[in-house]
Amino acid sequence: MKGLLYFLFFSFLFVRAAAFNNTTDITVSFLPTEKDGSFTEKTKVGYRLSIKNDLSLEQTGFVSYVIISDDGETMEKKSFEVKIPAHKKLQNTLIIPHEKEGTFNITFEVKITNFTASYHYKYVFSKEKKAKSISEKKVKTEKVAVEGLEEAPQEEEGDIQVIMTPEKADGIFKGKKPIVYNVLVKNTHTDTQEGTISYTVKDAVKGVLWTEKIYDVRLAKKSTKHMQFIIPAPEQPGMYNIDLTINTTSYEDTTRHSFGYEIDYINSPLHKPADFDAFWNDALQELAKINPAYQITEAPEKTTAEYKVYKVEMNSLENVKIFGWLTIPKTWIKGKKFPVVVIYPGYQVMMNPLFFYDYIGLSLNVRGMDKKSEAYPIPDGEEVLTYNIQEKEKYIYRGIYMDCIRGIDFLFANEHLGFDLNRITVLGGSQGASLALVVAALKNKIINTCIADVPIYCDMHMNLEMEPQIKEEAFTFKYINRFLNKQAGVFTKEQFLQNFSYFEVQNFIPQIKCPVLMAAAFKDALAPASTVFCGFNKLNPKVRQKSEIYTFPDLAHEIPDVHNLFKTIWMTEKLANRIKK
Amino acid sequence: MNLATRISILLILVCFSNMVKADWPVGKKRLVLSPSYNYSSTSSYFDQDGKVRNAVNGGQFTSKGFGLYGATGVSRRVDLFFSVPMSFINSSDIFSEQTKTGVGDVMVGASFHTPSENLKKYFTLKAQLLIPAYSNLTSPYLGYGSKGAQIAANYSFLPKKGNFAVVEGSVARYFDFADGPTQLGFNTSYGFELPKFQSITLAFNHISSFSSNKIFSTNLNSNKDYMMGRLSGSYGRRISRTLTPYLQLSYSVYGRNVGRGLSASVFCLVRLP
Repeated sequence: MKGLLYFLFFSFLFVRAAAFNNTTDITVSFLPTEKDGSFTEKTKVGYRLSIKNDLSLEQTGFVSYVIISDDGETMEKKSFEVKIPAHKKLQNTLIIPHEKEGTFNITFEVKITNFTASYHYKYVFSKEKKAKSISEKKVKTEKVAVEGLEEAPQEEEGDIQVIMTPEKADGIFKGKKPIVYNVLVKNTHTDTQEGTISYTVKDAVKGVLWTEKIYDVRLAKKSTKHMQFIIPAPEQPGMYNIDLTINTTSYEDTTRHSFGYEIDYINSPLHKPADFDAFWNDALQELAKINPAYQITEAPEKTTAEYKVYKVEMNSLENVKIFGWLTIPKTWIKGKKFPVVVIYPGYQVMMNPLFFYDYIGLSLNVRGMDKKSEAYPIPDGEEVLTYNIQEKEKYIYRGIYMDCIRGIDFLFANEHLGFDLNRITVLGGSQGASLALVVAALKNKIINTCIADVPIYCDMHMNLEMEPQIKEEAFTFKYINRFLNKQAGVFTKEQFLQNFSYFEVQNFIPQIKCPVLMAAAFKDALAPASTVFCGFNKLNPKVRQKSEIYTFPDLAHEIPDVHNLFKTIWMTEKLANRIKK
Repeated sequence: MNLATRISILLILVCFSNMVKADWPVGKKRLVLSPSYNYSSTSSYFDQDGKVRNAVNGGQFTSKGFGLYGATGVSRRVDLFFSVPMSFINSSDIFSEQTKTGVGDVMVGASFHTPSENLKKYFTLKAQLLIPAYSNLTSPYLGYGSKGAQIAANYSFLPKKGNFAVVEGSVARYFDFADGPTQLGFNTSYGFELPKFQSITLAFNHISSFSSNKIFSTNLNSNKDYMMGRLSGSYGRRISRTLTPYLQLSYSVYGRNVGRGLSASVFCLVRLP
């Protein structure tokens, strides 16, 4: 009997302890930013994290997530520390960079002082249109607390939204005048929120603090408050990050905003090897020796009422066969000419035919974009960015850059198809932008116009230096770090940068002779705006006069639709001038 | 039909046809030329009460001619344009026949385009001078024989992909004579693309011309106090990168002191380079 009493007593204690461990005094929720769990490139993959600590103890620990694709491949793991003071709430939106399309499982794990739980979700990511909702796809959304007994609440709780708008819409400031932001703080809580709003302004490259300020705030329930941040103009040209922290009764969040100051003077040293020109002359000569063996085949399945589409194949450096899509408007009359737009692919993006109302289009697929292609397979575990970087003559980008040149060779060898060889535009976004810039430099007597949206690799030295300042995950850091970890003791970061100098885009840029239109986005972790400005400012001064750069303070690695419209206007304007030979 | 009115309709349609994107800027360093041929003939008219009447004594007014319109972009927001009409008019009845051939009212002007933030809507202001390249010594007249000026404002936008719409208001005044006239115009157009580089534009044009000179003449180009509403439709098909020929038909649906009938134009849009 006594034993039974002891058993009941300890059982009671155990149940109490278990209840405390997953106490209702700590409430955790992860809610997808798209309710149906279906994300696109536009909406981004996002989950709202909320941890409410009603205990008298501060909670510390970490939150992590792991993403596993439906075929079992671990796509990403990330972990970050959290600290929630007693009787406070942590709220944040996790934006997860995504490249691959498909259905994915994401598991969030929360391990803090008095609480442990994990949550499983499934979501769909599609680059284009909104994917069908998960239920439509018969993928059941799971939301199970495995270790914790807590289930995430369904309703969204109150929120504090802060909208910061730079006085200059392009986020670019000049001169001695202060940097002014108009700030709108909206409290959607049903109670008054008291606390502070503070900001720090740091140099985006080195993270050096420029200024900081803290304001006491009291936000009545369901109210809106207007503020203005007046930040003294920095002493040095550069990109600057403003980290805005709001810390009130039941809300804590930090968001980042960026501005550019005197961007015409942002620059960095060139890391151009002495034999850079010889290296690329050798590559061009080697390419010239390869028989291109052009093949042009009509692709009726891709032909439209307005455009004929052809698949074009050709041999490039190391006899690697590459291909592209040629689109010729049906208004072309034999003997007449159309200007040509050559489009290069983003990182591991396979190009489809692209249609231009007034132009012939050539979208070129270079090696490495399809890692499993027969022409140039890349072994499992290897990434394009680091493939064969140990030897610059074998580095994949030597071949990729020459593939792009071969695309231009194709135009000159097939002028009879209607190519106006005095009006060639090269364009691309991300990696495609870098390739366009490289071609504009290496073929500077031929290329008429270059359009480069958010080019990566402009200044890889600066890019890697910026890593501690960049919060978002970027494949560049991920792949380089993974590669260097594998190569520990064999191939160092310095060796990587030394070899990459032959491929760093800013080393090519001074050779460009045609007008360039560039775009930089301030929240871009892959092509940080500082590196893009460093590239743009290395244009020859005469070329820079006829070139333009547009900036988008609120965007990450993308450009808005309006810029695509503007690109057409700009290209049409610049192509009015034939290239002078 | 008043010659200036006819040219004005043509001018707007030519502008619309540029990129099938309404009255948008031509584009810096670009040139648009549009040679045209116009024909209209009428033997009836709207009288001062707006009633349709047959011309007395078998009267017939015929106007045909060639025109050349051109526009060039001097910046991303400013275009310069001109129009030169070469007309042949014939006014006849059972007793007599009068003809006149010559260059009509030459127009030169500038348009200033203000785009919306998303570059999908434009507000455009236009100012143009009307310069007669003839003298009205003998009838029939090629126009008022007076210098004039017109200002117009329009709003152009894309209601949906491949469609455009324009709403325009204009004021014109002829200076050389006390009886003007002063003209108020309203134009609205809707265009849409069809497959295979084809397009259709429908337009409605209203003009009210005010003058102390209320006389109605069978020499329609000399009427100063009148009002008219017209419907137009044009079909175009791009046949090469630079050439898009159009066929346009217009019909006056109501009016006062103005000729009535169908007119046709053929014009070709040449976009360079």
